[in-house]
Amino acid sequence: MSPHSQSSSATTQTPLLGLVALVIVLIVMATASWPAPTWAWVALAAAYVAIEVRWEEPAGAGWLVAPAVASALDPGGAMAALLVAIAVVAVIDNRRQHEAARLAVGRVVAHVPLVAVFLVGGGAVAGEPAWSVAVGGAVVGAVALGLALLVRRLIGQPRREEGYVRPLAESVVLGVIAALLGALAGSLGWLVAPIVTAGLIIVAAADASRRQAVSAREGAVDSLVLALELKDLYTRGHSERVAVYAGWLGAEMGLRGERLRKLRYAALLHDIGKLAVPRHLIRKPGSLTAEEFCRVQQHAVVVPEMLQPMTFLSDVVPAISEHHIHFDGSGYGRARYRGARTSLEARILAVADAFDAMTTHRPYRKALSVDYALTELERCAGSQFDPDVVTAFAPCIDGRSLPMPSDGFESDADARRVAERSVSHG
Amino acid sequence: MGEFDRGSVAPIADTLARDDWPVLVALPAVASLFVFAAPRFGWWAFALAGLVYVAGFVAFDRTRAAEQVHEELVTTLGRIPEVGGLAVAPGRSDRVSGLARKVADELDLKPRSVVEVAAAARCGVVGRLGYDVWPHLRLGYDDRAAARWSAGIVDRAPAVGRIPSIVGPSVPTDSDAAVMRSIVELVSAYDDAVHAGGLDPAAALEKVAETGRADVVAALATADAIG
Repeated sequence: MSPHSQSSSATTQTPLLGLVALVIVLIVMATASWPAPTWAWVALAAAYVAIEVRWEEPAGAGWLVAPAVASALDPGGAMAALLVAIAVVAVIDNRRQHEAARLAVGRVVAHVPLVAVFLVGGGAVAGEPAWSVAVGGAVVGAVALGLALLVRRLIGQPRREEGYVRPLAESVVLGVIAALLGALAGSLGWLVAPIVTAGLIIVAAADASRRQAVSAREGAVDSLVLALELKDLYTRGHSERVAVYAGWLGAEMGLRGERLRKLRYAALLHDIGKLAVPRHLIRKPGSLTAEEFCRVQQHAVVVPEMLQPMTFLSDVVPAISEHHIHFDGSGYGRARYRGARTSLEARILAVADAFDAMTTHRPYRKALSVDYALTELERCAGSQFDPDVVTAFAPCIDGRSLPMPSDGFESDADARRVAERSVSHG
Repeated sequence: MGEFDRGSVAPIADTLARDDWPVLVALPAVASLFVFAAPRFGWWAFALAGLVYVAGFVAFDRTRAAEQVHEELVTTLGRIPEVGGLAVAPGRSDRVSGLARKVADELDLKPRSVVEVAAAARCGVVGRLGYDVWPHLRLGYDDRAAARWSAGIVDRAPAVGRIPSIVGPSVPTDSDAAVMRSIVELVSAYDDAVHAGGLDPAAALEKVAETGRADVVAALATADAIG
């Protein structure tokens, strides 16, 4: 679940994919007559897709539309320059933990070969009308995105974001910018090299900033989840499993895009209020006294105050606060409107949370079977749970590999050891 | 502070210290781009320069949004020990952060370092959540396990700069970060001594002075006196 684990996996595979792309390009260069527009274009497209799929930083994948466009203009000269660009980016990619200034210098250095691409390739369309250059760039941008999505699907890699309109619009715009910059460089030569470099850096920054914003949010949620796990080591992994079940349910019930992403955040943080509950109550093996139960219930009420600084979670807080309010209005928590039905997200969380709670070890009992848990959900449909959500849940888990529940810890020392490992290795 | 007024140049220094300075530097290039493109493309030059400008604006906006998330996370992590019952009095994170900022100013740290040390002080004790029962708040910030937990939690978020190394258990090799770490340790222990230990400020300062760097202790004494 951690974005860091995803990124480290991508880093591991990046050198291999980059190497494959380079080998393809070199084979084409060695076997095709020079210049070889068709083969060169295919090779460059392959290199672009490989980089687009795996290379996230530092320059951002969007700027690679530029060599794709330039290569369409004059593939022969563009190819050599792109090879240098790939090598430079590979070097920078292996130094992710560097300071901002070095990153900025790296970006500039990485774009020098790209400017050469523009200068070499742009000459082919230097005299073409601007509108035809722009249309050509738009087409190449759209095709490049399509190739990247196709390859992502073929290798089973999840897409960066939901929907098609926004990524397509961004890719088309990048293509238009790249093509016009190429034509400008082809017309005016080295005179405009600094301007073209600046333009490319701006475009690259826009592309990279999208992932930066997303990873900032994911990282913030991840930090809070770890804080919660430190407080309650015995329910370690619970948040992630509830997020998986809620994601399946949300998709099944028609949630998409940003709403699905926020449902995932809500699931990961649904117990964040436990930070305000004494540990001995969270883990108490026996039944709680009325006073203790009241204290535990506070965990759903303090959430708005606790998460108030996190503005990007403002839409998420109601679902967290309401997920212990039952379908029939009983239960506990903070409802936005007295007497109103809780949000769909809260009702989904209620089912996902209850299912995981039943199927994993708790301080006061062993894990129950999946069949028993489903029967129990159905029994409580209409009173505690939304019947529609319960109905949608069984098909969701049918045939799927359920997330592994955490082992029951024998002692605090065991739990601490596992959590220490988590902190050490991120 | 001397005769030179740092306040007048602080906005410029802050701007240059930003991670997204390439975007700021590159934006004027859009105008140059238009000047060069207009003779070649005519009205299409507007489209080219406009699109690049929008890309720059979007980059700036998103980068700012990411920074805001980071700031909000630090604030939230600072609150957690308070709502979790691990700090004796509400407002600890605000007090410690404000005092750390003053001490850093006294020591003439760079603007970026001042921001980082204030953030590190604010969220530096979130690792106390790792304890079953926080046994001795009076011990302040000298526990390695709590520091390790804190660094681990903060490190989960990208773009937090040097905060994990400042709040972590190992002394940073970067000398600047070592000073910042010393500030956070001292200010945190001082606040615990006053608000958890019940000592008066002078006694608390005398107590923490035994373990702190002399320059940081002196800056703390001045900053606290300024109040």
